[in-house]
Amino acid sequence: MRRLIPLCAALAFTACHDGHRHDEAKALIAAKCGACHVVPGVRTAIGRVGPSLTGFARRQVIAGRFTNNRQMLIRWLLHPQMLQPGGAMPDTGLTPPQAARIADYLQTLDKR
Amino acid sequence: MSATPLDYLFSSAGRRADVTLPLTWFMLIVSVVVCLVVAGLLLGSLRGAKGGGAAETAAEPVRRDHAGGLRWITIGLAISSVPLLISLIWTMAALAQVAGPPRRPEMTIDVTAHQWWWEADYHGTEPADSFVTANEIHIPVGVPVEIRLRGGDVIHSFWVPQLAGKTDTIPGQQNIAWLEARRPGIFRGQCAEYCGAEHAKMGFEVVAQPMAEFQRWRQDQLQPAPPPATQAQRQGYALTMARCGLCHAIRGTSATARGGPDLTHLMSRRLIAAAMLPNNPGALGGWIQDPQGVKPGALMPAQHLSGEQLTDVIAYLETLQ
Repeated sequence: MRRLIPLCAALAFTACHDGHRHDEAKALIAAKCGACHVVPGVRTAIGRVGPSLTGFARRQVIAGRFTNNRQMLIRWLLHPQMLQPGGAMPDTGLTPPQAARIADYLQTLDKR
Repeated sequence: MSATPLDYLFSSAGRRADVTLPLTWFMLIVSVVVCLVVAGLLLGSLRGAKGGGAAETAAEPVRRDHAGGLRWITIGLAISSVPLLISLIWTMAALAQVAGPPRRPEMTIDVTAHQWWWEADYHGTEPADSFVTANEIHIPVGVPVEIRLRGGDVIHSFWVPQLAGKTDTIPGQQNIAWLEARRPGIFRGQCAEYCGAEHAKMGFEVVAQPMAEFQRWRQDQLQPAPPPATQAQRQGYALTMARCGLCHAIRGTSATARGGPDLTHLMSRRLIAAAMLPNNPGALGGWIQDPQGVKPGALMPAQHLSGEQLTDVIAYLETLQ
C-alpha cells in the first residue's frame, strides 16, 4: 500500500501533464465532430457518418481533393460547405483559433 | 454551465435537495467513522491476541472470565444508539419535509419517460395554451412545481439530484414528484432505474429561470414552426416531413407523430439525443445521419441521406428556433 501511493500519484501526474496541451481541441472535437468521426484520444468521438480520423496526419488529401496541410485543414474546418458545397459535413461554426487548435491536434494523429 | 459529475454531492439548489444533502453527508460520515472504529478495535484485538504468547499454544484451551465483558456490550450499545437515534429523527423530519410541497403547486408538468428520452407536457388553461417538449424541462424559480410522472414503456426513474431525490416512473401508474428550485440554473437530470441498452445516456436538463423569463420561454414554445424560406430550407422541409414526420411532431406542419421528441423548437434546446450531444450543426448532422453510431439501440434509425440532403435537413431544422 505504501509503495502504491507514490506510484498512483506519479501516474496521475504524468497523465495530466501529457494531456493538457490538447484539452481544448479534444473538448471541441467531442462537442462538434464526435457524432460523425472516430477521433483517437477523444473517448466520445465514435461516430461513423464520416471517415475515421485515425492516422489523419499521414493522409495526403482532405475530402478527396485538398492537400492535407495545416493551413488547408483550418480552412476546411471553418468552411466545409464553401469548399465542398452539398457535402455531408456541415459548417460547424468554429472560430479561426478553435479551428487552428483542432487542426494542431489532428496533425498529431500519425499512428495508423 | 452544467455541473461536473458528482457535483450534486456538494451543492444543492432545490427545497427537497437542501433537506436531504446534509442528511446524506451525516450518514456518510457516521458510516465511515463506524467502519474505522470497528476496524481499529478488530485490529487491536488481533494484535492483543498475538501477544498472548506460549500459554495459548498449549493443547488445553485456557478459559478466562472477563468480568468486564457485559459492561463493554452495554457501553457499545449506548454509543451506537446515539447516532442511530439522531439519524432516525433526522430522517423522519427530512421525509416529512420532502414528502409534499409547502404550498399547493401552481403548475403541473406531465413527464413521460420513454426508452430513452423524456417527454414533457405543459398544460395551460385551454388547449391553445398547452405544448409538448422533450429532454429540457423549464421551471420557474421559487415556486413548487408538480411533476406527474408516467412510464411510457418500462420502469424508469426521474432524478434531478441538485433539486430532488428519485421518483420511479411506472407504466400504467402515475407517480407524483415535485421540484422547487431556489436559484436559477441548469440542473442535470438522469434516469436512475436501469431501463435498457441506453439507460446511461437517458439524461435531461431542468432549466430553472426567473418567472418572467420562464413566461417568455413558454410563449416562445407555444408558437408553431415558421414556414421554410430559402430553397435549401424548402428541400429540407420536404425531406423532414417525409423522413422525420413519421415519428416526430413539428407543430404547424403535417408532422404530428408522437413516437419521438417534439421538434417544434428543437433549436431552443441546449442538448440533443436525451442530453447526450450538444446541439450544434456538427453533432445534429451526425445524430440525424446515424443515431446508431453514437447511441446503439436507440429507436431512431439511420437515415442514409446524401450530403446534399443532410445539409438541407439541417438548414430546415435550424429554423426551428
